Amino acid sequence: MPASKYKNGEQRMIGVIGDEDTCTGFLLAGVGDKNPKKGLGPNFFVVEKMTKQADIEEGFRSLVSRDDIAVILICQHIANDIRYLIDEQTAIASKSALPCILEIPSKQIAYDGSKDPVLSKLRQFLGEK
Amino acid sequence: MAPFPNKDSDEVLDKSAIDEELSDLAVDLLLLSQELINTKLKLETLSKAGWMEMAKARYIMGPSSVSVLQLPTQESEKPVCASATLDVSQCQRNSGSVRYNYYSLCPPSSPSEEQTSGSDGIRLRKFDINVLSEDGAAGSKVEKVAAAAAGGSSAGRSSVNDPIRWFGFMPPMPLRQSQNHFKSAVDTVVEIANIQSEIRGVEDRIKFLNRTKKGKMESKVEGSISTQDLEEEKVLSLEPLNIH
Repeated sequence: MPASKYKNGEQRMIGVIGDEDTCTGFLLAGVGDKNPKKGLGPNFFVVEKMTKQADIEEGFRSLVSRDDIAVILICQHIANDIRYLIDEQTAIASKSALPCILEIPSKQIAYDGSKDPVLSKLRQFLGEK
Repeated sequence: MAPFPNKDSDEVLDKSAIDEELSDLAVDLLLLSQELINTKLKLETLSKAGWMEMAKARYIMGPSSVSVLQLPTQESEKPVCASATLDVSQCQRNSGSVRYNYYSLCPPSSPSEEQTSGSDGIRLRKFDINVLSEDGAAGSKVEKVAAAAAGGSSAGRSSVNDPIRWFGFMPPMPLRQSQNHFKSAVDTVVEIANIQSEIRGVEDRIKFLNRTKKGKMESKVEGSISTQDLEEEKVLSLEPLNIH
């Protein structure tokens, strides 16, 4: 049966946490946003080789706490470093399911389906039955 | 569903309906997971093509010309408006049993919005001779000219706000191709978000059905225990046989 909308939508943005090339690419596509007048910083965070773990965690928390971001793209190798934060956020956002956190393939490491949390949770789910 | 007079058959029917729905949802989950993997691999392909073209552009323009230095920073005062925004709405299927968020890309913003979002403080004035010749008063023409300019230069204004302009006035073709690849990647990202959201909705429905099924089984067991107790009490309450 086809799906149907039952509630009007809200306009939101896409946030990006990734390496230099990933952020540059998605910003080229028009995802980037920044409005200093409203006190809103950039909706992306560039992770370089020298970026500290604490800074990555702070960047993730700042994007997750924003009301105007619906989807956060995060490179898989960065997500592995802050896995506990992502799991915590997924547990908290169980009702509204926003923002949706998507792990995307990164330039350094090829996409590994076995490490994708959505798929691993799905396997556990089906296995429990 | 019409209620059945026999309580046992009614419970059996509900249980079978739950089991049937659980089977259908399990099949849905398998299909969605396969779709998710395929879409993520498609995203990886698009991203790789985009990175390759970006590397070519970097080779042409220089390493520092296509880097994080061109991206808007926290300290810069100039605002940046996202052209790729999402519309988030609630979606349902299977008669409302499965609910999830649905994401769709919003159409590009109107020229009036782009006009007000500019922080330069400079108004673009274009004087159209045909508009001016209709009426003699120049003051009334300002509004008409502004409206004509807004309608006619929307394509020009959107090119001014194009992020590719951060990398130079005349960006090379590989950079444009990289931009196209990443625009396709954004479409794919929206597909992935929808699939993931639907998976979540189906999982929530499965959890609900499992809880309902467990509750029914527990109430049935309690019911059977209580009838067994009653029968035991009846047996115990029987008077002992007097053997003479």
